Amino acid sequence: MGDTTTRSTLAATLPSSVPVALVLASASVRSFSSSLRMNVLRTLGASVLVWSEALAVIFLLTAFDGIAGWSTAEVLLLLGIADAGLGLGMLLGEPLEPPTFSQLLRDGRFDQVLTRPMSPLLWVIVNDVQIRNVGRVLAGLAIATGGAGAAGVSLTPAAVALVLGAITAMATIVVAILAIGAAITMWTIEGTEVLNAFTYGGATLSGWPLQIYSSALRAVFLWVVPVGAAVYLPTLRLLDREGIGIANQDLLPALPLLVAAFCALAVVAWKAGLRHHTGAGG
Amino acid sequence: MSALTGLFRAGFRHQAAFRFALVSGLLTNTFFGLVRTAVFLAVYRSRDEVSGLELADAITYVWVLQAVFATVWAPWLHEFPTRVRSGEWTAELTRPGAVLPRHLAYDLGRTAAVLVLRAPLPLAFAAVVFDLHLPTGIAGVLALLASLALAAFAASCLRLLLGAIAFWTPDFRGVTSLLFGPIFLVSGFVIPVEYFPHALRTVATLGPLGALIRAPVAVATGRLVVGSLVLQVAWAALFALACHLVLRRATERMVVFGG
Amino acid sequence: MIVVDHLSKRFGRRAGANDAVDDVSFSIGAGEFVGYAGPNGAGKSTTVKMLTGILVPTSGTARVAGLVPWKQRREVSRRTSVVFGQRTQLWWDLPLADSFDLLHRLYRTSPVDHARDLDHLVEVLGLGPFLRQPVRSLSLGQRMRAEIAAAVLPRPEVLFLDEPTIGLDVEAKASVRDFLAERNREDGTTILLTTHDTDDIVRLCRRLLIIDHGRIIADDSVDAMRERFGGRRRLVVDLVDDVPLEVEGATTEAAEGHRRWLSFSPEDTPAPEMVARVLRTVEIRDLSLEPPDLEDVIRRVYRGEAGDEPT
Repeated sequence: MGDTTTRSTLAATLPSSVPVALVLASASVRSFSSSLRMNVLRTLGASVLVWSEALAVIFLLTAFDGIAGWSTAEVLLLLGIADAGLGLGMLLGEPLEPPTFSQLLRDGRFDQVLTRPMSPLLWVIVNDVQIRNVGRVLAGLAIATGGAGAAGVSLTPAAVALVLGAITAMATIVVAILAIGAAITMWTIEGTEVLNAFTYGGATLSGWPLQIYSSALRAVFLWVVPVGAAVYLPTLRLLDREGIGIANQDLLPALPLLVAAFCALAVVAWKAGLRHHTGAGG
Repeated sequence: MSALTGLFRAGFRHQAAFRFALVSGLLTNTFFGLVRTAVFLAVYRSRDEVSGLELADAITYVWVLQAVFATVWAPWLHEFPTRVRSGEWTAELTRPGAVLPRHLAYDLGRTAAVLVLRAPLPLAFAAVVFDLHLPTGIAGVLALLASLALAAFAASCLRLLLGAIAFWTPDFRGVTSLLFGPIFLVSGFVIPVEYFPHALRTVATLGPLGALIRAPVAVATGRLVVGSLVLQVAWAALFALACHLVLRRATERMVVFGG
Repeated sequence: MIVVDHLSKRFGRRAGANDAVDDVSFSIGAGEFVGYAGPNGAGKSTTVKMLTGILVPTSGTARVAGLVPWKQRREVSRRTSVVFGQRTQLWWDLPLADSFDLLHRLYRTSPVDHARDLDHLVEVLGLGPFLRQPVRSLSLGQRMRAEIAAAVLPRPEVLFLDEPTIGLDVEAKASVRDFLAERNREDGTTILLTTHDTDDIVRLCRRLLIIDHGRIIADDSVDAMRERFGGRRRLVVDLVDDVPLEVEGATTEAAEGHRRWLSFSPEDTPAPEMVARVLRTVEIRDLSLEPPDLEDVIRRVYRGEAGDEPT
């Protein structure tokens, strides 16, 4: 019984100085390669779905010659950012989605997570990183890049930073929405589809210029669940366009605050969920 | 026949039991409907008619789409292929009677539950809030109901065909996910097919996927009612035939290679 | 090591709703090996979940290794381990060795200690042959041995075991029990064992807590509990000659050749007195006194049939 027989394949590849969260994430990447063909196909599928959506936007706006004064290219920039952000958020947050998380609660795996010396939220995320969402991220990035190019945005470092910042903000909010959803699932146990309205629905909504919506809908997605702000405000700056009402380029510096405030709300909800957590039956 | 109605009813009850999911599904559907409505209100601001559709037609499209969305993209989409893969489905072959009618009867029961429980509320909501283009006479309403039933049948068959991929490959989820995007687009689940470039529009209108959402919307808005219904009937028959052939090949394969 | 003080947990908000755990108090010293028994839904798992910080109690308090579990969850999870028999704490798709490596990183155990502990565990629990296999491919017996290895690797001060032998075959049960007994004896690990299997308790625990309807209804040493709740006991006697046997205070339950099964109430006739009476009455070749069946004892405790109120 020497050291060699008990040593894991992980230990052989990853030095012990690598943070444990990353090691866990790399372990979940391994399960991607355990059914590689299917996962590669699903990654492509996620990508194709976004491209189909973009194609529909192109068809529609070609037939109508733009929307609310925005050209097809400009709308594609919005759509690309929204989808890349959603994809990145899902890449991390998908295990928090109602059906998956509800299963985690019911079969008692979440109880097990709570006996670990680590943040349970981080644990749930890194243990089941859904690589196939990379397909959505890449398609979103490509569409955003194409849209920006066609809209005449020059590729300066500032422009790249704005796009990446917008995607990060969107992804952060998506994870926060999913965390709130998971907290709700700790009460209801049965998963609920309602949160889809904010994640997938939020991405769909922010793929269009915000001025097309009623002021009430706009307010919700600017101030409460700021996915609208995350995509729209940076895009206004990129295109140097007028926004609508208070949702203007001047509001861009406030975006980090809006995102932070929403994350704080998610943390409060998650903590309340943990306090309420009733464990798996038995 | 009574066995099939029994299965239909059982399928209905099965799906109707998910009340909680039902309510949340309604809210989500309504939200997506509002977003899509805003898009059409914006593009039609300075236009009366584009590609043969008026604003009221487009908004009717949105809400009919929200009403029937879950009947096509059913939450149980992956159940059949998963059972095929696990070998559980083989038990179906040992039961008396043809497999396909039983499968479709149960699946249509579930679809009917989703349609009956999820469609009326968003439609009624939209009819009150927006200016929709819905049939007013008895004949129009009956035509719409017939069209919705045919669409549900076609959707059931489409799900079976997609699920049957599992007979040939364990990577069925990968293959189907690759097909979702094109099916979504061509069947008109993202925007009405009328706005497509000419060639694609023809394919989408006359092809099998046109039976899912394009035809019911056309019937609802009173455009090409008879033509759309005839097309739907034809495609429903072809869908059923395709299901029959695919299932036969699949079961032959299972007998040869083992379940 | 564990102090539980008026701990209650109620699910649902309505007052008067069923309390899963109702005003439970007990304490367990360092190095004890305590059994925790009770019918399904009596509150066993709920208690364990509160002691491991999974659930927050409705009222009352508890300390494990001096810490309040639901407030200092991470610190407590560093110093305790839990094994839920029906669930896995291992990484399903990874080779078993990778799970151990992840735990080592997670609990930041020293590499030297980890390597030594792991080698030892691999040897005594016989994990070697399947160390390279993904966990999902292990048999239940293999997996349970791996679970227990995973639980003790972080060198916990307290080990909570929830049905660790459920579904195991005789051999796997024996190897799990031997290991747990050794761990308790050699390392002084405090162990709270929740189980339906009275054999586990008989072989491992010196003390037994019994919970029913959320309340502790007995807390005593296993021997004392047997004595108090044992009911009638059995004496098996092998006679020299096949003769009828009548002993005062005992009834003959069965007879087979030269063997007689006698039952008696230890409250009326203490066991030594009964043995003496038999020896006075008849010439015997062999004699054995069967200990009261613990399952029977526990059943009597539930029914509140015999014995005094537990203190």
